Amino acid sequence: MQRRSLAPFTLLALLSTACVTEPGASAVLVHAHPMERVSDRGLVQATLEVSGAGVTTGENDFVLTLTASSSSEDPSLDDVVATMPAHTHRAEPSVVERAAGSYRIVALPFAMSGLWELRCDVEVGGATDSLVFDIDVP
Amino acid sequence: MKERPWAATVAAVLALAPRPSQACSCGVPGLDSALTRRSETWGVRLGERADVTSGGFNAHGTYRPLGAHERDTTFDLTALAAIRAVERLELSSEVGYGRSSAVMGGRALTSSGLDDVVLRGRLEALDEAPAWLEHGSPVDLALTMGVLVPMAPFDPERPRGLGAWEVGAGVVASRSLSARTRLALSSEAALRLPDRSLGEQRALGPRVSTQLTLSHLVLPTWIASAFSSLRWDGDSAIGGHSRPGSGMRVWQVGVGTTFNPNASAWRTSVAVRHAPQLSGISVNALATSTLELTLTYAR
Repeated sequence: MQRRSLAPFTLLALLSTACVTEPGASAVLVHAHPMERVSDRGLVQATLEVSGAGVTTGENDFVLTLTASSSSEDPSLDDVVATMPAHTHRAEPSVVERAAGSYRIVALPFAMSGLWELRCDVEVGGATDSLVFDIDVP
Repeated sequence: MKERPWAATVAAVLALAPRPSQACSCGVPGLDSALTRRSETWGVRLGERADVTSGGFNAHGTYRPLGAHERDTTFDLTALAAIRAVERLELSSEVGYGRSSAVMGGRALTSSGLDDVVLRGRLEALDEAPAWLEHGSPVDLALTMGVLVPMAPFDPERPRGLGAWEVGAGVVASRSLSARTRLALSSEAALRLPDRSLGEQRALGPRVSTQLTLSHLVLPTWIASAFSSLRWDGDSAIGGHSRPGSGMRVWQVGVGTTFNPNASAWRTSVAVRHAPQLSGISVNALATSTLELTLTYAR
């Protein structure tokens, strides 16, 4: 009986798996290690700290501290939204409270594990800017 | 005309193959399945699928089981209709309706509604030559095309659909390993059009899916199969900025069986799929186990 070659399957398998790559860098946010970011236009420096031991699925509380890079005015937080683009998830906090140079972001729900993008729109000195935090939810 | 009872039964098993981990039920049905035999001109199939999530994989591929008070389940009813206008070309369309519910971190989330609609075409391009022939194609080869129409309503907490148009093309190759055993490899690549489902410009990365299926003819009317699938979604871009690490990768394994009486227009299948709870392979995905039952009528 003629020997049947598996070469076509091997080739297709190699072509398919060649596209699989490791994900990029991101961070699991824990209380002991806040995230620091500079806004897209460099107007604001920010520190994001999670309340509790660390970020998890379900609702999370954060403290966001904003500092103007050069303006003498205090930055303000206009909007907060979290998205997981690959799964079409979008989440907003229940409440955003302002307190002495920082903002408390309350009950921001992460519906599943994976990489979430937390986007904060800020304003300082009449100019708008954005901060993006990549949060790896365990 | 050459009768190919294997073609329809293996295709029926392939039809049970890899859907993405039903993260938020935003999955794309497999685009590689044929519903009808070449001797048939039309067919319909009803399917019931239950997904139960046991945990999730983060961006680094680390698995975390759901908490004691967390759960995530989805039930979908699907309907697939196909016509074979010419012997080698099948055109089909699939619609679905489902309900999902979850409790995550004390929040109860539910959603229900239509799923995305999938339009498919499948051209059976080459036939495997008999083993005793020196020349001829070494495999059965089918070319597939598919379009996903984002019909599912948008729910930001429990999204049911992809939220974007998707256009894909693929190839399904299969061949006999023995008189009763076949091996099939299906692979598909798809592009997604930009959309604004999340309120700003989003560009989902491309998708590549592949599945290896081993099928054995246990009885003339009964086939048992085992398969392994891998799906990869590239990084997405939001607001024109690519987000490294936002892509998804899901590995699933499964078994299935198809009962296919030769003289009957009825076929029935059952399949179980499972995303192994192993860290390091799947990323940005749910670990889901799926049970799917289908009933097909084709003439």
